[in-house]
Amino acid sequence: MTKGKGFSVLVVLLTLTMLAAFAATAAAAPALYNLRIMTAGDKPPDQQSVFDAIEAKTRNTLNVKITVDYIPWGDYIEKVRLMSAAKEKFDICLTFSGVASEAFNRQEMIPLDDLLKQYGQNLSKKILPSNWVWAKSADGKTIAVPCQYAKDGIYTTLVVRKDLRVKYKLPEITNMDTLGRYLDAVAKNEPKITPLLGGSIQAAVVHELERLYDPVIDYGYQGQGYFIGFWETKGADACKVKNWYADKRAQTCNKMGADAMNRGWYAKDLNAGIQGYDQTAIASGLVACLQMDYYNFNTIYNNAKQTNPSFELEWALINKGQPVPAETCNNFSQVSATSGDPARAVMFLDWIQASQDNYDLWYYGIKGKHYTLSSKGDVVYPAGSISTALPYAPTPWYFRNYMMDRAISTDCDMSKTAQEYWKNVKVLPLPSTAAFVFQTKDFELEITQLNTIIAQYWNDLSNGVLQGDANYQKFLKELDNAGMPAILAGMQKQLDAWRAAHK
Amino acid sequence: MRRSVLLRTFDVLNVVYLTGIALLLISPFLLVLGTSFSTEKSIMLHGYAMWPREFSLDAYRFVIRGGAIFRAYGVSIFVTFVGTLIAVLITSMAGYAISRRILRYRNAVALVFYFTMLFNGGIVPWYIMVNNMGLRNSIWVLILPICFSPFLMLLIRNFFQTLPEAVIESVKLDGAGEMRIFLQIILPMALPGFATITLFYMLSFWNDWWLALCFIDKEALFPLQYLLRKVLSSTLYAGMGGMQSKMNVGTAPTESAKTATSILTIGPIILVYPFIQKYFIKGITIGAVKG
Repeated sequence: MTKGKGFSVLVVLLTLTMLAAFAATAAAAPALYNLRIMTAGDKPPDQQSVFDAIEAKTRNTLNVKITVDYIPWGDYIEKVRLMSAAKEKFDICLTFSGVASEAFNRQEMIPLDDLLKQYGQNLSKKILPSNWVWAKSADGKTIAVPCQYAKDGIYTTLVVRKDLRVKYKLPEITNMDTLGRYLDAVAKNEPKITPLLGGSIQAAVVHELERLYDPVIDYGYQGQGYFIGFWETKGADACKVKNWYADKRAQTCNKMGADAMNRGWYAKDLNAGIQGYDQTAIASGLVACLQMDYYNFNTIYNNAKQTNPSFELEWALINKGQPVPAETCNNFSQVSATSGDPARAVMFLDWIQASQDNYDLWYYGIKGKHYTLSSKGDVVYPAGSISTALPYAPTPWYFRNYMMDRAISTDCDMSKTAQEYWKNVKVLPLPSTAAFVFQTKDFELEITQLNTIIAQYWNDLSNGVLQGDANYQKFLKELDNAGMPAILAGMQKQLDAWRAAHK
Repeated sequence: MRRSVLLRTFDVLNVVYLTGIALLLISPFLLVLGTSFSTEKSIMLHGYAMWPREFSLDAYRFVIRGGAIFRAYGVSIFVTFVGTLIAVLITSMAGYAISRRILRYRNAVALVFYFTMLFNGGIVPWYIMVNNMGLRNSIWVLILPICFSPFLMLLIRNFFQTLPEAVIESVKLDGAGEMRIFLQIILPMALPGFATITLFYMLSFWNDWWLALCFIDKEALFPLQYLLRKVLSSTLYAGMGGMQSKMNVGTAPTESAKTATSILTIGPIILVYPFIQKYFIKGITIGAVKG
């Protein structure tokens, strides 16, 4: 073969290879699909440019044309329920604990196990197993893709007035002792300031109970529903269903609440005063410490700086550094039964978490246009941006993974510190029994009665308004009369059956 | 004749007392108005106030940013005006027809209307039906589904029934047709009834956000109430730990924005009351007594 002929053959071969590769790529790209997502909140003004960028970037893989419908928060669940009942076509929706299982049971949403196996490798890898537990149906099917957000970040941390702590030369608050010394100092020296916002001791109680006792798998929340649990420990007590309110945990909780009241940490008339999550209380100088959600640190910091520039706020976590048990996940995305291509819906959710670049594009927008990155990797928004009117700020609660979240350059220090902390904190794995779901349909009457009694007593008992063993015993007796033993027995029976089936 | 001192004193006391009551009734409105012009800082420090301690237009700037509110005002005004016109026309014609004794089976027809007040197909079939009619994302979807109220039809029918039949008969003898009787004789005589259902319809069109929630995706067609509901919802969400609050990039005036929203919402419609309230009360009472 001559040199010229050899070259020609090489060129032909190369061309054929390129054509084959092109054909293979073209064949692999699926047909264009209109992907419709339902979520709550406000449509970002410059959303379309992000969608265009994503569509261009994924043309040969996902090949989707994205639409996101934004519905006001207050109407969101009702609207999606209506659309689902009317069999209106959409693919993905934001959903919440309880709402997700109801929609699944009505067959408005589909099981995702097979789709996740095939198309959800990144989701399975990047979302902790403890979060998936909350995305299961009673029979163990995966009904949603959970969000992943900071463990224990929701209303179990405290924000305190640092300037007061420094004024009284007190150490940083890290445990019950240092918290007590701080609150005592405020109670003694600052007559116009309530040391602790009503009910806020619970943010400390949660972590103190974790330090003192084994974690509990519980059903219901204090003050918001019946609260019973079981403990997957070794020995005779293993998986024994108990009334949480009759346990040493509840007694410790009451003792700490009474202590808070007796040491003058609360306003005298707790129930008449400000309490709960009143974010303005610390900014306006009425209280020195309150329980807080770390997602609101910036708001509270801004408020304080606006009203009283001399105030310094800091984040306090009781027993900081100890591993935290995995907690309930409340936010999910679900795939609708009316989806024209459920596989593509799961592929899209998977794509978001496939890389930091993808996540940044979907969450923060186009780099250089909607934001830039600082040398530390923080998101920098254009100067003069207003939080509720950013050019691109989608509602994140159906795809959020805090491990991939970035800090915002203008975040206050306590927000950045907390974010970093929760990214690195050790989360205790959930025991297998956490996947057990208590079927309550035979106990609706008892649960309603229990909730009434709990609402009547527990807030006062746990905050020291009602003190003394007589009140506590009266509360327990009323719970028993309202049907607590029947619920405990019913739950034990279901749990034993579940464990036998899942050995 | 000179009035006695006692009577004049009584009058003065009456005026003072009623003025006090009126001020009490208007005070919540003044509180909302004052707060809407306050800075967030002063609201946080001193609470709501009738007279702003620190005057600010930030809340209004925040609510009307982007200019979407002006378009929404346009949509709401169009829907209220055209919707009320159509609704009053249809309702009053239906009410007039079944108020006439010459119409056979009028009670059966009235029963059909009445039946829909007690029973209906439910929200899902209604949603599917309106969607299938091709009204989605059209301005008419904000008008047609609520442009007839059986309750108001029965109200105005009762009102028509109070009008003397002899007037209609005599006009008829003079050669007037049904349309002429309705427009030139009945309408002027039934002004209180018309004013009543007009006000009800106006309020219903002006305040409606549900239809937009169900059927409007295009921002250009958002009516005022729906737009403001969205604004309110997002400011509330921002204060509840939404992503925006995670971003410390400028604070939105959440508390004053809520009150500014209320003021902007009630603005135009509150002006309608003084003009038709005298008819309104009369229309309601007459319709109620003559069943």
